[in-house]
Amino acid sequence: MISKINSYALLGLKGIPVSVEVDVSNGLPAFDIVGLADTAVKESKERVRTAIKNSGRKVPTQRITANLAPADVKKEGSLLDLAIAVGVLKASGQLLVDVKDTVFLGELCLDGSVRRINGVLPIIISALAENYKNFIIPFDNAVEASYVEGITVYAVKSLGETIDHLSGLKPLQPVEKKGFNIEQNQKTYTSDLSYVKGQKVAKRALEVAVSGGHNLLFVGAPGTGKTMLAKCIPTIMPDMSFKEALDTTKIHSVAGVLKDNEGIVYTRPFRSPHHTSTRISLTGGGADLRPGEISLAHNGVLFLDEMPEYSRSTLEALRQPLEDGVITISRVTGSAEYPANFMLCGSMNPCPCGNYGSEDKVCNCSASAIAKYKARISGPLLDRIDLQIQVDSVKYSELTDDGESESSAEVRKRVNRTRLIQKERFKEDGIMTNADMGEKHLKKYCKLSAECETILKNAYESLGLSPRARSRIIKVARTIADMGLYEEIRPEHILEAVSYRHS
Amino acid sequence: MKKLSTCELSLIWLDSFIGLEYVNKQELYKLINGEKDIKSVIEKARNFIESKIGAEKYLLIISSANQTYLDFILDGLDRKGISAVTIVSDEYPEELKNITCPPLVLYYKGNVSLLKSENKFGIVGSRKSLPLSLKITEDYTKTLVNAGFTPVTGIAEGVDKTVIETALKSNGKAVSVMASGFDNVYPKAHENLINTLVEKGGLVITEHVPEIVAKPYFFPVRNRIIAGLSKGVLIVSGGKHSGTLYTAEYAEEFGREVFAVPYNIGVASGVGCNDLIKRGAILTDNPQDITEFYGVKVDRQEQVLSEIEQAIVEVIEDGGAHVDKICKALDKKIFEISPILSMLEIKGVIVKNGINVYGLCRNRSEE
Repeated sequence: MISKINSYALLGLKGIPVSVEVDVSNGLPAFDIVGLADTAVKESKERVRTAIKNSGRKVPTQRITANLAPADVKKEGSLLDLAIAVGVLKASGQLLVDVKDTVFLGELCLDGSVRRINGVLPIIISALAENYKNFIIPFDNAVEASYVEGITVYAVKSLGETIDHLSGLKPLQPVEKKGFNIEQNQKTYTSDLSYVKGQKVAKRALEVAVSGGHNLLFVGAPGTGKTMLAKCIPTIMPDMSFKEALDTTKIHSVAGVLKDNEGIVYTRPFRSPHHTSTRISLTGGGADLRPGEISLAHNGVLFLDEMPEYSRSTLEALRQPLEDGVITISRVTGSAEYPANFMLCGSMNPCPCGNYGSEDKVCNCSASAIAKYKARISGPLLDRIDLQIQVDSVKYSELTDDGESESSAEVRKRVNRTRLIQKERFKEDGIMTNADMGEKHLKKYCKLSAECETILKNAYESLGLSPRARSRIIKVARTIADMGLYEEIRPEHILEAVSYRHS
Repeated sequence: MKKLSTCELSLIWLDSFIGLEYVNKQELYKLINGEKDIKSVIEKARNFIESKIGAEKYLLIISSANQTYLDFILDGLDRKGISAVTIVSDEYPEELKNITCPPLVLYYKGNVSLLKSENKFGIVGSRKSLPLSLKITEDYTKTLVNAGFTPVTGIAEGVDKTVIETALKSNGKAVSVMASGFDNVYPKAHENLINTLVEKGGLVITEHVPEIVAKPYFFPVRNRIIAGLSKGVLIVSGGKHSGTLYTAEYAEEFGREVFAVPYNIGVASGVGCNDLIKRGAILTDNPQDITEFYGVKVDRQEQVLSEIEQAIVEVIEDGGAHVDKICKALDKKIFEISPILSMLEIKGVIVKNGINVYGLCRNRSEE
């Protein structure tokens, strides 16, 4: 007898329907799995056999053949275990119900319990698009599935429970739906702007950067609080929309970094890969096409501490995703596209010894050493970084000073407002923020008065700005004007933008 | 290269022997001075070397005592676009002959007439100067160039570079004295700066043949040429043991005026300047001090400042101020202050002198 069970495999962020066909026929007892299965799938026959036995069912002493169709797509991981086990039971006549509308996902343990798997959310979303509405998934993945509307999900703890549910002996309740409620869930950041003392300039610049979606670079001596400031970025970023949260969750689900009971990612991700990270770990890749750090930072912040220490090729690999917001990874096993729309935040020392520009400490670096250090971040990459913020060490008096310090929540309110203005402005242009503006948009939305032009010209001459800086300054000035609710860019906006120039 | 006299040729020939000491070169030169043709020059030189220095030590020189070798040297210079002026040439400035060990030959690129220009003035400072010092350099260079002076400086990072760039920006010329040969410009990154300077009518000189690589002790020795060429020198910045101080020392020795910019206590890159002032250098805190010293009247340009700009300047006045301090003093938010600071920077009144710290570029005139 032959049985056919629906399941899914993962390819990037997409679920690929896999039909598990199991046949039990007379012959010497054997268990074969065919259909381009990787090692984890091949090994599943051992798990399936023991799980069935330990769930009180019988493994037929016959020849079992499982085929994973389509046979030309490589299947990876252990998420097909449950489907194969159900297929075996059905083919051997131990389960008689019709399951052709149900998708089975889950890994089995030897004792028959069902373990958590990666990528449940993207699979469910893909399956829903192909009109599958019933799912049986591991209990530990239940929260993840609870945010998708229009489906019925049963979360099972073991194979036995699955069979009891299917056969109607002990029917389970479908997983309760959860609404997306950002208000209830946003107080989960450990950093807050109010914890940062002093640093008025840096804080203001942070707000400007986040308001306009500008990438930024902190320059400052070691121990001045660059990382602390960077960690505050997600706390003042605008609230995640449901779509954003879902997109981010999908990536995190595939990468297996979702926290146990998180379900959906409410907080904007903050990823800070170490500077020894390889290019592939940042961009994503490998034989199993895993998403990289830039995709894990989707809708959040990618923080590169000590940016010049990253290898040149790693940094250069960021250029295309910074431009397009997505990255396509192609390997021999296939190709996957991951969204990678992140805010880049870098930090570096002003020179190799860290004291350059300090009034009270002596810098021992030669001019060529400093130039070499700075040149490690290439011009084209720097062009994508609109703001450069110099961070100085906070005096002791400021650390203890109980002056007014705004909380992140207050700042976020303003950021939300500024982002709304931009959304409204660019609704026909297909971009979201001021930072995304191209030359065309600059012409359309950033007309400069004669006075502003004069200031820019004077700044160019007396401060030695590079011609490349022009569009960066105008973009930042546009954001500053938006923050102050001005239609037109005014001279003071240009001037403030000038103060965030590259040095 | 223009036609050279026998005397000039013999000096260039002599100078090409790197191992030959300056004293011997000078002796040799005295001996062969006045000879009419190069052949008799070489003949005399051979005798001198054989009798005084020892032939076996200077075999090379003797074997190079021929026209072919001289042509080889001259062709080499020509090919690299380098010209030479010798101590007997018309272009050689008189004031340079009065210093200790005046260079016998100066190799140059660019406008050689600058060597003889009237108002040459040395502006030097350390490589690692505060942004404020660089701004001061800019200020002085601009004023001096506009008053008709030709700045003389080195080719290093920091002050030297700023002098050259500012002079060119103000449509002036500058003389840069290198401590290496033209083949081995140090720092290498400044090769472009040299080319620009030459293109725009400036002058780059060195006492070394092109192949010479700068050694650390060349720099102080080079400084005697800067001091020798100049009417006076301005020391913009310099730490306790800065090489810049050699320039001041030489200037003093050669009877040129030494001006120095004063610094606050505790500013490492200004200790040397303050030391100079203690020892009698002329303290200068605005460019007019120098122009007026030499009898050139320059109108001082005053920036018109708004009320709030004035208020900020008053806060910064006392040895510079951090942005946070300015905000606190004026009870304003940071986003109200930063645009004004940028404006003041553009106007050239203040300068970012470190991270988020601003300093005043010059003393305010009293109303």
